[in-house]
Amino acid sequence: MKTSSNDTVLIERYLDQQLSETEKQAFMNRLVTDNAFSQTVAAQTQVRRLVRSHHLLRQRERVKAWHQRLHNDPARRSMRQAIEALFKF
Amino acid sequence: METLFIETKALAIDTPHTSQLPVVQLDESMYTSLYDEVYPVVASIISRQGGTLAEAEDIFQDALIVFMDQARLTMVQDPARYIVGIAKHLWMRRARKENRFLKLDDYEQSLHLPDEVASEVSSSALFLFLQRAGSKCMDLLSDFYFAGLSIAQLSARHGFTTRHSAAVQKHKCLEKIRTIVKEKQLSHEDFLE
Repeated sequence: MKTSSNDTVLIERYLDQQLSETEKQAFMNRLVTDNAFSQTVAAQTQVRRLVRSHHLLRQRERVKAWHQRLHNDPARRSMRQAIEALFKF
Repeated sequence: METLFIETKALAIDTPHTSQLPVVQLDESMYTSLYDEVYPVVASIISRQGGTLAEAEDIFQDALIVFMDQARLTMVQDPARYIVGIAKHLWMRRARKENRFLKLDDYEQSLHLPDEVASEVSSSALFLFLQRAGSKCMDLLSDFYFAGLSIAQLSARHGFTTRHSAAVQKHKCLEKIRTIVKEKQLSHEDFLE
C-alpha cells in the first residue's frame, strides 16, 4: 500500500521530535492499531539510520583525503617527523 | 579558544529554515588548523598508551567527525579540548579489551560519545546495496539531514533551481529508499541490521 505524503511528513516530524503531546499520543495509538503504518514507521526510522551511516562514511572519506594531503605537505615535514618519532620504540 | 557555531537545519520538508546561528563551514581550512593544533596532542596521548601511528590517525579523524556532528547541533566552546576528550573516549572504547585506560578530567567525563562512529559504520548487506543502487538519493538525504547545509547550499550542490524542487526531490528520495528498505527487509533477513 502506498504511504500518503501526509504520513511521510508526520513520521519525519516524529523522528525530529517535533510532534506536540497531543499529536504524539495519537501517533503512538496509531502505531498499535495500524499495522501498515507501524511498518512504514519502522522502515523510515531504518532509513534515517542508514543515511547516518552513509553520512559518516562520506565524512570519513573526506577527512582521510584532507589528512593525507596535510601529511604529505612539505611545509609540515618537521611536524610529521616529530609525530612519527613518537611511535618509534 | 574560539567558539564555533554551525547552522542548524530544519529536517521536515514543511518546516521553514529559521536558524539564527552564524554559519561556520567545517571545511578543509578548519581541518587544517585543527590538524596543526590538536593532532600532535592526540598522537602524543595514543603513543603514551602504546598505540600505533595508524591508530592515532584513525582516532583523530573519528574525533573530528564527532566534533563536526556536535558542532552542527550546538556550539562547542573549546573545539581543541572537545576533540582531545572525544579522542580519549574513542581510545578507551577501542582499547577496552586490552585493559588500557586513560584518566579523564571532569569535562572529559561529561562528554558523550555516539554509539556509532565513522570507523564503525554499518556493513549490512542492505547498506552496501544502497551505497550502490541509491547513492544519489543517499547523498541528498545525507546532506539534508546531517551535513548542516542551508537549503541554498543544498540546492546548489545538487542542482536544484528552487527550494520547492529541493524539497520535492528529498521527499521522492525518502520514499524510494524507504520502499527498498521495506522490500529487502521482507525478503532477506540478512539485510536487517
